[in-house]
Amino acid sequence: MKRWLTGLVVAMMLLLLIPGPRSLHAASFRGQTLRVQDWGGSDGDAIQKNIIDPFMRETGANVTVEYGSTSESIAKARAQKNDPQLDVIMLDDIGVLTLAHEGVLEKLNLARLPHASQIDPTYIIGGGYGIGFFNYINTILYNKTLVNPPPTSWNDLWDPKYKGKVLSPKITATQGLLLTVMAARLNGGSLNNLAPAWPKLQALRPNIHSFLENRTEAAELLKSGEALLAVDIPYSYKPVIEQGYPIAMTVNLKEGFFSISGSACIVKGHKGNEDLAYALIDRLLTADTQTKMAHDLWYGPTNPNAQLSPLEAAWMVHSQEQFHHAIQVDRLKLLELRPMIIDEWNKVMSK
Amino acid sequence: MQQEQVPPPLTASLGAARARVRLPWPVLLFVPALLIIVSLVIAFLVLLRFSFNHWDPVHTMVSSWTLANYVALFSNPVVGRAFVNTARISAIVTLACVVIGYPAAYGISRSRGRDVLIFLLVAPLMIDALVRAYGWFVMLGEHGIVNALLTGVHIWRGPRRLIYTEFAVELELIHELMPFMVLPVANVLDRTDPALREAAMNLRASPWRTFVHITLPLSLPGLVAGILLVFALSMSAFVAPLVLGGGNVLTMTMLIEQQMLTTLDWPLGSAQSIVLVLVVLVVLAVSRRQLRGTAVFGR
Repeated sequence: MKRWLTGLVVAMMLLLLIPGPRSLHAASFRGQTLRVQDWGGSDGDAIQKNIIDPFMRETGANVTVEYGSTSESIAKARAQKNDPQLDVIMLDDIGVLTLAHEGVLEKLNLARLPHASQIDPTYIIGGGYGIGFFNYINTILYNKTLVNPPPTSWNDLWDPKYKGKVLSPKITATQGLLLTVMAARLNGGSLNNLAPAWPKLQALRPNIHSFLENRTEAAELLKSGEALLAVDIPYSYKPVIEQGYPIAMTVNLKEGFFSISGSACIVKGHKGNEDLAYALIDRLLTADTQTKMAHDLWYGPTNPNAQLSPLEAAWMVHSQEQFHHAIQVDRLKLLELRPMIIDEWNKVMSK
Repeated sequence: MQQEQVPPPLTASLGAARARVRLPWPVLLFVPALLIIVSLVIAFLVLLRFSFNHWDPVHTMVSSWTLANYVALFSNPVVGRAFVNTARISAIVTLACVVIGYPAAYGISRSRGRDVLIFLLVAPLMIDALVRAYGWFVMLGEHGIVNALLTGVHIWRGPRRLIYTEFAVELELIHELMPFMVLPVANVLDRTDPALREAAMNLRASPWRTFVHITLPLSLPGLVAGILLVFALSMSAFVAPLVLGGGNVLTMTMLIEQQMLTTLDWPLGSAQSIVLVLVVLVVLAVSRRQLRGTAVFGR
């Protein structure tokens, strides 16, 4: 009996020596370096504060961050294809699609991302080469004091009562390309048949006050009533909304709204620790992280468990029902057609 | 006995050397200008080379020798529209600067407070172009000072849309480029011998005749310089159409920006840039010859 008990105690002690699964809280990545690229600016600041710094504290890893827009990240990753200098890139979903198409990215193993199961499938990008950790939308904003009831259709932009009162995106912005696609759809066309877009956009011209150059200007125009409707990205107006400007947005449009996601991906052949890369990306997907990003930047979460204040909830897409109402456009096709779209847009829109 | 050659003293040698290689100090003052000119010429040549390359959606610019960009440029009605807009705006701004600027230059040249007036004239140039444009944005807005003033004195019944129009662009350019008209003209008028005017008036020429036959011809070099500067700067203006045009005013610079920074079609953007520069140079050369040729010197 005594020998049996001694054997049991020794066995239990030996079991304690077996290393368990890697845990962020175990600081098991001490000494490892991960190289990350994100957008920089206010996005980069929020990512550093809410994600990178806590991640480094908890894991002991060193995360070096470089900055660049989506276009710049695409160019950099492309240039480094044969000798990657980055491990994880955060960029718009169009960047994931482009780089995946060029064989620059590694397909994600979603089983290694415990929180991926909480993410709406809408935000698994390119068949799994990237995963969205925030979304922003392109929809209609309006002066809520002077426009009642709110718009219920993209066709409302063409209403004669809004003559000279619509702020249109510039064609150099993605929002302009998406408005072109919407114009085609409203006129019986599609991304693959944009011909109907041009007469529709020409009909919109008299309603256009100007083409958005600066969000602050746009906010002042909406506030004063000089413009009543704007086609834009809502989160850009966070600073003025918090000051009480009478501007609202709607996602209750019959045709839906456009959604773009900020995504994370892993570079193929990267030199950093694979587990560390997955740990960072998984961190981006948690409800807690996405709640903080929503609070700081008004970026809509892709995890429906994120907790939003009533004001935040009114300004971003956050529920699964809303995710499914979002229009996803073939972004690679849109990119390919962009020069033609810009040319045709200039023909119908320029005076 | 052959006398030993005595080497001249060191200082004498240096003096002789200096005399043989006289340093052209005034020419050295042109070195900074030369650096800028060389940089501009190199930039022009780079753009010229790019304009013959081919553009690919994936690889952007591909080295080539093709005229496709120029063919696309000249066959695109939007480019023609942009050129016409740009030329019209430049002509209006130049004319306005002549009409307003010449009298101002004349007044400055005859004024005792010349230095103060010159300072007030060039003060806007000390402000960044973007800040200046946004200043006009505020003044011309529906609730800005211009609308408030004109509706307040009942010249207009209600506020009018001034911003995001060609008018706003032209107004900002006139404000920005006026010094480039006034300063050359004032400088030339300053150097005009007042005795010539006095002699004309002593011979019973009216002030108007004196101006037409004496002052204006003598000020022509300054006027030509001012016209050329204002026109060239107007043709290449970017900030004013961008901020005050609101996308409603399509100019060549807006088109070039789209190609270079959005579609990354550098070959086409370069072709547009080269054509713009060449058009401006040709217009300047022809205008300069015409303006000098019409000078009336009363001989």
